[in-house]
Amino acid sequence: MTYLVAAYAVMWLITFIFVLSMAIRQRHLAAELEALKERLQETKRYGE
Amino acid sequence: MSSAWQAVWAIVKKDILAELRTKETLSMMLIFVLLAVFIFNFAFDLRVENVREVAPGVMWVAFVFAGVLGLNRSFIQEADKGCLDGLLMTPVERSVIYFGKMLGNLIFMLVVDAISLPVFSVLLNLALVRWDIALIVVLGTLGFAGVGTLFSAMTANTRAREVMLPLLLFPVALPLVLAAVKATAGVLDGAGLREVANWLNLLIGYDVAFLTISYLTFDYVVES
Amino acid sequence: MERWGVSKLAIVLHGLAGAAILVALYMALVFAPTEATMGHVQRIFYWHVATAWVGFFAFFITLVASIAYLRTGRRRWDIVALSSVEIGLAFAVIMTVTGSLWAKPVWNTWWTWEPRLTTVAIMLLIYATYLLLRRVIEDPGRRARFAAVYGIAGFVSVPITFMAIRWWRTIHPVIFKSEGFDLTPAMLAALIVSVLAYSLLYISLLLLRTQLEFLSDEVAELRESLDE
Repeated sequence: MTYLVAAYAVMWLITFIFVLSMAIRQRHLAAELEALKERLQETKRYGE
Repeated sequence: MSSAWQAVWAIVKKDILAELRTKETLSMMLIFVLLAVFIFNFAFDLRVENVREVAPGVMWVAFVFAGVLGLNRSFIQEADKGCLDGLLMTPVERSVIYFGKMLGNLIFMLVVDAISLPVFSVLLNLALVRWDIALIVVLGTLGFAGVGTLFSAMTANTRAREVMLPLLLFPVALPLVLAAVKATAGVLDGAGLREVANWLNLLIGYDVAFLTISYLTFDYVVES
Repeated sequence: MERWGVSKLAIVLHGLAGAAILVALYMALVFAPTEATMGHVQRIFYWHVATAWVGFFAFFITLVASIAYLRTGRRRWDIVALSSVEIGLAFAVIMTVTGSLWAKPVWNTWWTWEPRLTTVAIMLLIYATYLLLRRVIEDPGRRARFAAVYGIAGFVSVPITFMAIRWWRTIHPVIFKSEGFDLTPAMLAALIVSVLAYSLLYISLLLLRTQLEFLSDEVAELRESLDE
């Protein structure tokens, strides 16, 4: 039954897209956090 | 208790007097309602056979769109002229401001509805000026003004505010509009109020739910 | 993984949820008996109903979090409200699309304006507008407050949607009636497992999404303090 297969596929697809978009955003944010923390270290060093 | 009602009445009076000076908003709403009926007339080709079926929907769509117009102007005028800030600085409870603005909006909408009904009766050749339809109009407009006042206070300060109000309001108000249309249609088809009781109950329940929610949350929408 | 802003608990829970979904799918596709009149397409029912109930529940959580935010003013409640709307909307879309895919072979139409579908469409519009509303408000405090008020007002549509098939005449199947339900024990078991699995998925997604938002807050704060 193609409708059954399609319904199965839709469920996986939407869940997968949701999780994937979260993962991508998390990757970017984590990288930005690291970069900002480094900048913080630098400004602290120059402050002394 | 009576000082709260005095405050509410003061706000309503202020809005009415301001409107009586220019009559801008009322006339805009009235013209809009008439325009809506004209457009529907041409869009649906309102010949005699169709009219009774389409009339309740046409009527309520016209009322709802004109209502949004009135709601928009109500708070945008306040926000632009800084009246809202002035109002907020007075020592009244926010919920009093809510009831004041809501009653003002309700009165304007009911005035427009009251003038429109006889005009629709003539244009659509249907007897619409009857007390059972008037009751449905009051119940429907009450709920619409209730939740519309809350949302218009919200959207007056957002980007794209004229568009945001209908976007927020229409989905939430749809059950109300649906019940009003079904009740009006039932009554026009000759049913008594008891037969459309289900829809009336939905209208009343909706009014109670949204007046309560708006009364409880209005505070959070106007504080800066 | 802690330094990446996502906790080990969340990842583990998400893995468990994935496994649970696989079990639920086995129950739905293999374990449950084939329905007499509709055949295999009836199996859509298991994850259609599961995503529906969990979706409604997600919007209920938004209601609770919105009220909590208005009363406490704490950003964590705003984050929960937002996250739950996103997840609820995703589940509600799955529910709607799977329902439509079931409807085509059984009702011979993808869509019809009957009470359940109409109220679902309204509900979807309302929560999509919730996300739009958040985008057009710049001030964060105001954004959270207004979204909370709308999250409360919008929830009125959920019980109406849920009860639509009981209040009005409809072609949408009514499985759970006051007299009992039309499911064999095996079908009921598959449904319960599905609901549990999707609930677990909801919880894990909620954890992940809220942690992501907290991370975003942290980054924004750090960016601001460095740019001063």
